[in-house]
Parts: sequence; structure tokens; C-alpha cells
Amino acid sequence: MTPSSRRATLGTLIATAALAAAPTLPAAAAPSAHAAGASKVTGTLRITPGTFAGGKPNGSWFRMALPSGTAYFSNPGSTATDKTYTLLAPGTAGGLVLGTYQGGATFDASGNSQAGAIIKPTPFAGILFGVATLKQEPASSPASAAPSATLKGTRLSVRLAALTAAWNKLFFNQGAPKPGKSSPVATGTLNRRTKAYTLDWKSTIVGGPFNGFTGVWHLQGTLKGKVA
Amino acid sequence: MSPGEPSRRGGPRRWALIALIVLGVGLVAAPAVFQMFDRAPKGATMIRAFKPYMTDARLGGYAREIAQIQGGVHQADTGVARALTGAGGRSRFEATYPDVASFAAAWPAIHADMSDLIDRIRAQVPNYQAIAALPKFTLFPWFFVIPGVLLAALAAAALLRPAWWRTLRWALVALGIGLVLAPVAFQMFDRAPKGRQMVDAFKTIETRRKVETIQGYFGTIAAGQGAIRLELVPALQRRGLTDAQIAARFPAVDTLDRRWIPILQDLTPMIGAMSDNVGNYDAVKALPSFSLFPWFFVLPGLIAIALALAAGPRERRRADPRAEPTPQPAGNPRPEGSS
Repeated sequence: MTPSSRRATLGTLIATAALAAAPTLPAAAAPSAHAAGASKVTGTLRITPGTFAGGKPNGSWFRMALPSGTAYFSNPGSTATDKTYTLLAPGTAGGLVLGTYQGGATFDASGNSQAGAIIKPTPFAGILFGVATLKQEPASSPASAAPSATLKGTRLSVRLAALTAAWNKLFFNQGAPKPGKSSPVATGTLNRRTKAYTLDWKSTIVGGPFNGFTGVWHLQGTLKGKVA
Repeated sequence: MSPGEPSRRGGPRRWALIALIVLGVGLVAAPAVFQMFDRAPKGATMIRAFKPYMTDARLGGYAREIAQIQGGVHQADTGVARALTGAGGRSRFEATYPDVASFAAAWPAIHADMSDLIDRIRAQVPNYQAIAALPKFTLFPWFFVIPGVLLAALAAAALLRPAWWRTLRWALVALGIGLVLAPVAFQMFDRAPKGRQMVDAFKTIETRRKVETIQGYFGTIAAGQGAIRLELVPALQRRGLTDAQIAARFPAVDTLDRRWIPILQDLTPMIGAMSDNVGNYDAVKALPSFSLFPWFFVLPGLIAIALALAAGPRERRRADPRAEPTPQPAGNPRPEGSS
């Protein structure tokens, strides 16, 4: 072995040992906002109600793509002309509160969701669906952190693993990232001056009657809060 | 001492004991070979998940609900359509209520497929009950491992301590009898073939493709029912019909409207159970055929008994030199066991 190859081998060993000794970074503890040069966003992402005009949606809406990925579920309860769009309206909290869980994920006897803090429960195939952020949804093992957001330039990133849709006495995680994962997060834009934001993400349902369906979400509105 | 030669001390034959050890090790290894520790619990999960649905009452309820959808769709597409657009207004009806028209067009195929599906599942209720009455799937691997360990341990003990053989031999025979009788005790000869029938019948039901087809039906039905409820019924109301009049003139539409939420609440979890158990079903399907299961006990049991009996004990060699030699029959000049 030449001196240079010995040095290379020694270097490899040291690097391997260092990697082995380094603590494993849990998914929920990804590099902090500040370390990445981003600013922490706090407050409420208030939701602008969805509307549909000129063949396209405005404001906040939700769609559900079929497992084939070639079509969307048509929601007869939608007030949009294109019923593949379910238009969303703000709930009692006005929208998504960052840094805390918003529960109320209970149902009435007909399976209508009572989770009305984030969005107003909305008809979906004859039954109201609502949205909550739950630390741990029923029948789901990994716990999820409360929603958190960062801003880098105008790029808004929101960790939404705890987001859960509640419908017909069932829960469907609609998080981004999914519980226990570190990516992908919900992304969009935030104007520091006007505090207008947009936020988009997709989340595939795992398990249950809608296994393989993908929720496509678009929220927009204004931030009632601050950017650190 | 060569294999097959009786022990000088009247102990068991070594080859038979070694064969018993091999049999025991084979039984212990069988669950690993068939991946039972992974697959059997999945089977248990599937059996548990299907339990609420695999009853005549529940499946009969689904059949009634499909009939209610059929009645509502047919009446919406015929009687209500005539009431709204007149006898010659078919194309106008389709143009005005495209969601209802497309649902009515798609429904016959869905109806046929869903009815067939429910009928096929319903036909498996007795087979499901038979399979559910078997011992818990999670115990299956241990039914092989425990007798296997006992067989191997008893045979090994006899190999190491030939003096214990008389006792160990009967323990091995008893274990063999236990293995032979276990399928009888658990009624496996009756139940296991029924389990196989159910596994076979579900080959075209419990698949990801079929589940996605049903999910698609669900979307079509939900959209169609919504169109009937939110477009046709209000159109009838705009023509001056009260709710009571609509119910009297179009009872099938009214029934579908009233029953929709219960139908949704019934159908949704069934689709969920089907979807969630595709992988579990695949695991069960990958196990050896259920019809063979009783024989997995009977055959090792019989072999264990045969080997235990074949192993001896052999007669002791006479040790008293003063004893008179035993007269030998003609044609057999050397006594058995002499060297």
C-alpha cells in the first residue's frame, strides 16, 4: 500500500466512523428554518373562500384525483360548475393556525364532520367533510407535529403532516409530508408586505375506501401573523 | 454398530431416531419455508376485517341497497324524465341533465358487476364461517414448530440416553397420535377445503384492480345520486310537486334519496375493508393450499408413530453364557443379531 493510498484509506475510515457516530436526524427534526436561511412564519393562514368563474377556480379549493390519475372525483355537492372542484370556505378559526392543533374531529349520526375550525364543513357526496390538524389520527400510528411554516424570499413552505380530512366517520390523512416522512411539504408564496399567500400540496390517501386517491389542495388568503 | 443393527443394550435403532429428529426439524422449518410467521398473521387480520361483512344479513342488505339504487336510477331515467321533458323529450332530458343521463347509461354495467360481486361473496359465507372457526391463523406456525421441537427433542434424548427409550418411545407415539388427531379435533378435513374454496373464489374479488373498479363505481354512483337529488328533485319541485307528491309518484327515487346516507355508510367501510386487505389476501393465497393443511399434521403424525415403533426396542443379547443355545430352524443358520 502506498502512503497516498494509506492516507485515503485512513480518511475513508475516519469519515465512515464520523458518519456512524453522528446522531440520526429524525424526519420531524429536519434542518431548522433559520439554519436554512428561512424565516419562521407564525399566526393564522386565513382562508379566502373558493369561487368558480370563467371555467376556473379562485380562492381555496380541493380536488380528489382517482387512483388511475387520469380523472377527478366529481362531487355532486360542489357549488362549482366543474364539480371536480370542491370550493372551501373558512371555518370558525378563519383558517389554518400555525403551531397548534385544530381538532373537533367528531361526527354527527349521519357521519357529517363537526371539524369546523379550519374550513366550514362542506358537502362531499352527500355528507359534510371537515378538516382538522391532529397529533395522531385514529388508526394512524406515527404522531405528527403541529403545522409550521417558513418563508425564504417569497417561497412559503408549510409542514402539514397533521392535516386530516374527516368524512363519514372516517379519517383520511391529507398531510404534506405524510406522517413520519420529511417531504414533500406544502409550498406556495407569501408576500411579506401584503401578507397574501397561496399554498398547494398533494396527498395520497393510504388505506381505507379511498386508498390511492390523491387529494389536491389549494389554499389562498392572507396571513394574520408575522414573519420572524 | 451399523445403522439398522439393534443396540447391544436393547435400545432404539439409531436410524429411526435420526429420522425422527429430521422430521422434527422439518416441522420446525416448515413455517419459515412457507413464510407462515409473516403470512399467517395477515390471514388473521383479513379474517377479522371481513367478519362484519361476511354475514347473510349484511350481504343481503347490500343486495337490497343495490336494488334500491337500481330502482331509483331506472325511475329517474324513465318516469321522472317523462314528467320533466315529455315523452319525446329524451334528447332534451339528456342535454338538461347530463349527469343523470350519464349515470343511467353507466349504471347497468355497474349494477350487473356489483350484483355479481355481492352474489359471489354471499356464496362464500359458509366457507368464511368454516375458515373463521379454524384455530387462529396466528397460531398456525406454532402448530408446526411446537410438535417439531418436541419430536426432535424426544428423539435426541433417546439418542443420548438409550436407557430412557421405553418411556420416550411412548411419548413419541402419543405425540404422533396427537398430530394425527389434531385435524380431526379442529374439524380441518371439513373446514380446510372450504377455506380453499373461499381463497379460490376471492382470486377475482380481492385484487387491487377490482377494488379500484369498485372505487370508480362509488364515484359514479355518488355523482349520479347527487345529480338526481340536487337536479331532478328540485326540477320536480319547481314544477309544483310537493315532497309528498314526489314520494307518491316516484317512490323509487324518493327511496334512493332517503336511503342514500345509510347506503353510503354501508358501502364505504366495505370498500375500505376490501382495499385494506388486498395484501393480506395475497399473503393467504401464497400459503400452501388449505386442503393440504390436515395432511401436514396427519402425515408427520403417522411417520412419527411408525418411526417410534420401528426404532425398537430390540431384544437384548443373551448375556448368560451358561444358557442353552436356542434351537435354530432349518435354513436359518445364524440367529438374528449375531455377528
